[in-house]
Amino acid sequence: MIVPLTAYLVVGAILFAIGVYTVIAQRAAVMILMGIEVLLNAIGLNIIAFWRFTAPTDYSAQIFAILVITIGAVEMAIGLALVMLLYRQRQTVEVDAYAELKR
Amino acid sequence: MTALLLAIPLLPLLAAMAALCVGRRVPWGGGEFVVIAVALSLILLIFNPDGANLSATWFESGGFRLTIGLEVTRLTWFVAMIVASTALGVGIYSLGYMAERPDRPRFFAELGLFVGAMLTLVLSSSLVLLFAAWELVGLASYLLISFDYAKAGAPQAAAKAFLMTRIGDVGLLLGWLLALATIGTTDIDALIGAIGTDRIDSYAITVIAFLVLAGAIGKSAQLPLTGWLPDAMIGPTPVSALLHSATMVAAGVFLVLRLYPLFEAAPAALVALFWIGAATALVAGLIATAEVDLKRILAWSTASQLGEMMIALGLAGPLAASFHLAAHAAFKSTLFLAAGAVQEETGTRALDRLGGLIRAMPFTGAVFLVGALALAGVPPLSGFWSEETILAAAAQSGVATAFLIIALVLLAGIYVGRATTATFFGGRRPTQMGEPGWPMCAGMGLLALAAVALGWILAGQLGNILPFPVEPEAPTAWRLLAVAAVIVGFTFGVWRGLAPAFGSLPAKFGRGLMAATEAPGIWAMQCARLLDPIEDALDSVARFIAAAARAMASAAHSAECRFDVGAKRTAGGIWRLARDTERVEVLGFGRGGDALAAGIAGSSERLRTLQAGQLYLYTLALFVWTAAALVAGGLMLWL
Repeated sequence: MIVPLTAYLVVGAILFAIGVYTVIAQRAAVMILMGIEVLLNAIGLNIIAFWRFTAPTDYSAQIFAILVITIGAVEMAIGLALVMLLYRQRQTVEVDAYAELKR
Repeated sequence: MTALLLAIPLLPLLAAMAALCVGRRVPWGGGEFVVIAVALSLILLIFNPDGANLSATWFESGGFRLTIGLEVTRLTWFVAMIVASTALGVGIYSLGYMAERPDRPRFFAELGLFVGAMLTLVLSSSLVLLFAAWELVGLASYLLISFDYAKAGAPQAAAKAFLMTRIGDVGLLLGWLLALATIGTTDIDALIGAIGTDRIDSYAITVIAFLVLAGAIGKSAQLPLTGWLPDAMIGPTPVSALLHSATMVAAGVFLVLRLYPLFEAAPAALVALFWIGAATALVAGLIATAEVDLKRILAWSTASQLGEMMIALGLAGPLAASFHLAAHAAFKSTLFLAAGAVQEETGTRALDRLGGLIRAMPFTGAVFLVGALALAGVPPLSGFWSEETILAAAAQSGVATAFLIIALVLLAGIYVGRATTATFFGGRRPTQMGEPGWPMCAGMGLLALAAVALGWILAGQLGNILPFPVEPEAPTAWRLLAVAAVIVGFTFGVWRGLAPAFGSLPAKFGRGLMAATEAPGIWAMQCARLLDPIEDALDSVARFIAAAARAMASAAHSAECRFDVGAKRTAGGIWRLARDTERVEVLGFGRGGDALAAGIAGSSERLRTLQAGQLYLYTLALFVWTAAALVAGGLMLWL
């Protein structure tokens, strides 16, 4: 049985929705970073799905997907490093505590 | 050493400046500066070797090269020595002579200018610098003759001297301009070097020689430009002494000596020189025998002696002329200084009011006597030797010229004998006087010593010192005749005493000559007077313009006053306007601005609440806005 494109897009949409919810609803910075990762993977899934079903001979979409994964890894590294530093300074990872600009 | 060469003429000029600036604050009125400067110049001259040369191109234009420079040749060294040493003696003398005068700094400044200009003239290696110094000498003599400008006749005498020498100066000016046009440079050596080559033809040489001769005649007071010399006696006596011996009248003779190769190449000019000299020497000598003013006798004698130098030059005897120039400088300055001492002590210089002074002033009398005997040519004083060389030159060219010299010697003996007797011997008229102060005695004594010794010091040496050929000695018969003429003339003069030696005819002739030679000066004056109406007209025009300007100024003033009032009113109006504006600003714009600012502040406070400071709200807003934008974009595509 062939899984149709629509199924992939639905999964990607669900993943994206979960990612958006996670980013908005979570209070911990680490969880927000995780949500961002989910968002990126939803987009990666969409890219691969579109490639597979519309232009399977063109490899540029694969490269694009690899680029998205790479950016996700790098972003995660920098994001976790920032969170680590913030934790050392504030002894917390709750983003609601970071409200210096709002005075 | 060449740089020190520059100092020789500059030192007296600097001393003149110093005398003018600080003369009032030093004990001798600035005279010490001049004396020291002249003494230093003399020392520098002694140590400056022959051939020292300092020359530069002033400017070049159109193929003409104007040079300026100083040069010590054997001739210029010799004449500069005469100038500097005479000036030293006269300078020392004038320290005493001017001691009582409050305005003496001016005198010493002018004296320094005179000496410095003359030294520049003598040492110059360029015709243009020579001419400039020549005019400077003329200017200095003008200033010095009119030093007592309040004295009757002094300004006139100065103007006369200036104008009459200026007539000759025109000739010199044209002469050097012609030389410049012919050979393209003002260098004297170049001019002399060009003679005999094809760069300058004999016609041009003759013209240049005659033009230069005109300048020399004016400066050396030869006929027909003699008249200024006796009148110049009105200046202070040191001035007369300097002017008559070394600085002014010697310039003419020096000029001919300096350019002597030029004259040698122009025989016509030499002949003219001889005749002018002969006429001047005879006429001036004759007039001197009838003169009754001590200084005027000496003045006429100067003209006569200079005529004798001109004769020697005309007879191709430049050595004799330079010897006589030196000897004459010594004894004539001595005579003048002694005469000045007499005038200082007695207050007069008229021969009929003097007499017997030898008992009251033995030193001055002795000095005068030495000078007189030297002038007359009594052996072994300096005049004897120089007259003898002139006689030798004359005897070479003929019997007539030799007799002319003998006659001149006779005349010299007569007039100087008269002057000596009438002043120092005979009945004693005035009383209560003594010798002048030591500076005057020192100056006189030094120059008298020179008058005594110069002759036999130079007699054998002059041929080595100067680059001119030595004449053979005169035949013994002529020499004996000359000595006899001296003795006869002097004795005759002494015997005649106060009375004119040859009746009153020469005196009348002298007056006639003065009147005749004054004519050019008077013409110049008349020409100047012709300008008077024009000047008056110009003056009245100027006055009119001044009056008109005044009227305009007053009109402008009243208009200005009116403007002033108007301006005050306008200013008041503007001030009120400004005050009202200020009020409007404070009440209207000020409050309006405040209200606006308060409104902005309030609304931004409300806007502030949008910034919640919660990360999730920002993220939510981001997604919402993106979704909205996508929806809007999709709707726009779809529609």
